[in-house]
Amino acid sequence: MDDKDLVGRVIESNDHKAFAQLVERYQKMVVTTCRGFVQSYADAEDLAQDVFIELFESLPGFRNESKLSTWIYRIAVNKSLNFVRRRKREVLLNNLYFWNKDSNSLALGQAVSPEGEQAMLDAERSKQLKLAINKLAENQRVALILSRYQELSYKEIAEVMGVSVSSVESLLFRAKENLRKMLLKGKNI
Amino acid sequence: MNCKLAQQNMLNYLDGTIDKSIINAFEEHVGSCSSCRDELQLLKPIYKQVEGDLGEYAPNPYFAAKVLAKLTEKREKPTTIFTQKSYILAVSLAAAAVAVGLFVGIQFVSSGSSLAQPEIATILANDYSNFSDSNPYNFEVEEVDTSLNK
Ligand SMILES: [Zn+2]
Repeated sequence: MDDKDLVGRVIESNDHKAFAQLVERYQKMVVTTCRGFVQSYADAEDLAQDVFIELFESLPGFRNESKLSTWIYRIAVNKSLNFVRRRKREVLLNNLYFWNKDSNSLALGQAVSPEGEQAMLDAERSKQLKLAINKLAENQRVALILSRYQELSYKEIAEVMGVSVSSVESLLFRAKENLRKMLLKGKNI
Repeated sequence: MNCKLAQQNMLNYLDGTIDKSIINAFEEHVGSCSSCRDELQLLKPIYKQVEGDLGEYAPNPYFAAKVLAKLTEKREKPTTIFTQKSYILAVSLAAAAVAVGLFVGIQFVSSGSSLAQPEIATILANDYSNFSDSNPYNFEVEEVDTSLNK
């Protein structure tokens, strides 16, 4: 069954089995998109669950004008941005009131428990990259994550973000310039 | 190619989105310019970590079941979404509770209690943050905006 049939079943007869099929079909896409915004797969999966709950509730408003994947990407991006904003606020408040032991781990969620030196190095790099990505302006960040974590084309990114293809080009150009500078900061080059 | 153009294309080169027509010039420049080469070598392992992150993905076979369970639960007991203002209020309350907890903790510790300060603080904080679950105040609810264009 294609997306359209499944969506029809969910809307018309509240068919949970049909919805489960949609969830399975888009699970990887949503979880890995959310992972672009947060530091761990645990957080990404929690977020992804909320994305699908919202998808279920918003399906009656989906009129097949855009691809279902575009619709889902929009929800995933919004949920992720809200999550990161909330985390930032929490860290801010924590810093005001708490003894501030390790705000970075709070800001980024918990890194995967590393086994061996390579895994530790990967986790460190992953954290460093995520820190830099999270410092980008939101629209640059969204464009970069959709391009880098989902390998979407400029046109697809433009559809998700509701901007022109040339805007996406310029967002990605600026995102990469800023990211490069942040990653090289303090590296004495 | 000059250094500036090479630098602007470093991440594009690493993620494969570099314009095909300038790949040769880019590689030539990096081959002969040690400063750009060093920069590329520093950026590569960090920027390439995206592939590492994606490679770690292991689909949770119970994911769809969890979503459906959450949906059913939500239908039986509709929950509310706090506004930003009320959220901050709740967090502030919890934080204030911790501050009080810390103070009380210090009193306990100085009077010879075996409970350490953070434990008391946590207990008090948990008590206070439970408020956000039962929602004793009439916080206004807001719809979640699904469009990126506001
Ligand atoms: Zn150079």
